[in-house]
Amino acid sequence: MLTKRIFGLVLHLFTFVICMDGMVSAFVDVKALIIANLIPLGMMLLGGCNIPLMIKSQFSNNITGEELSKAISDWGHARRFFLIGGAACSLIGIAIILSGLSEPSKIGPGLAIMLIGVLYAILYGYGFALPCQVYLKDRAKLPLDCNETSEVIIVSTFTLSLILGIFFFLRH
Amino acid sequence: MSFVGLMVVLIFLGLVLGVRVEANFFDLSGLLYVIGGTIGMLLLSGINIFSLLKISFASSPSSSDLSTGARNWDLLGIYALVSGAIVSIIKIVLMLGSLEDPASIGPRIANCLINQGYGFGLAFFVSLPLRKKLAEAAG
Repeated sequence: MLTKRIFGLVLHLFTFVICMDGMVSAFVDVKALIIANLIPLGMMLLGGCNIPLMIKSQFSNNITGEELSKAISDWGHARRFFLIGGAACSLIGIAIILSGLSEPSKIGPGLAIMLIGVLYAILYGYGFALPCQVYLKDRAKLPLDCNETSEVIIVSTFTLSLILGIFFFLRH
Repeated sequence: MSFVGLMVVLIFLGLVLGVRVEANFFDLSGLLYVIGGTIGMLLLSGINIFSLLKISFASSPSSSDLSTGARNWDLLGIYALVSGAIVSIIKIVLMLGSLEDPASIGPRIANCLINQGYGFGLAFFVSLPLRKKLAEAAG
């Protein structure tokens, strides 16, 4: 099972890199990466998430039912915290763009923070934290929540509106 | 019968998209990520894809298999939507990296939307009907 899961992660990352069309450096923005990684990490620590247990639960079968429920709940919170990190990136990016509308050189970095932050938030939150949570829920024989489907539909709609917003912004 | 239904959806979708030949509805890297990323996320969730396909087209699966299959198709829909959203953001970042030609903005934005459409298609044209079928059969 572990081999299959690692293969799934590698396949996901491999196709992710292929999709970048060889422009990997365009997706590395230090500010966006710091906001998208460290804000959720800080929130997880502040919220009392047991990060070692979250990692251990993915590899070990020797955990109690109580630990399993705690890990499931923590992965669910991690997903939301990653999304909040993405939302923070969007807000900061939009603020940078709007504060420097007269200076076209400020638009690029603002857009980069906004888009790359959102990209990493969705990738970590739904491409990594959600599958890890689903795996643990399977082990605990718990059903899926309706929240997950509705959250993803909201994220997709947000992405669509982001694309259309950028189109109209560039057009004018 | 399910397989015939799937073929009908794919053929008519292909016909509709094939009518407007001036727009490029095919982006290999985007399609690869939507399919590969969805399969990768399913595997990371510990789901056996072969048994998922087997349950969906089997003649008489058990009730527990049917409910597991319905849940897994639901997950596949979620992951396909996520992959579509991720790939559309990747494509828009790539577009913003080369803005020399303003005339190419429209087609490249269309390409981003088409990539998101792959995720929507997999989630709503394939996963949703199969999930419904299995959930109804499981009672």
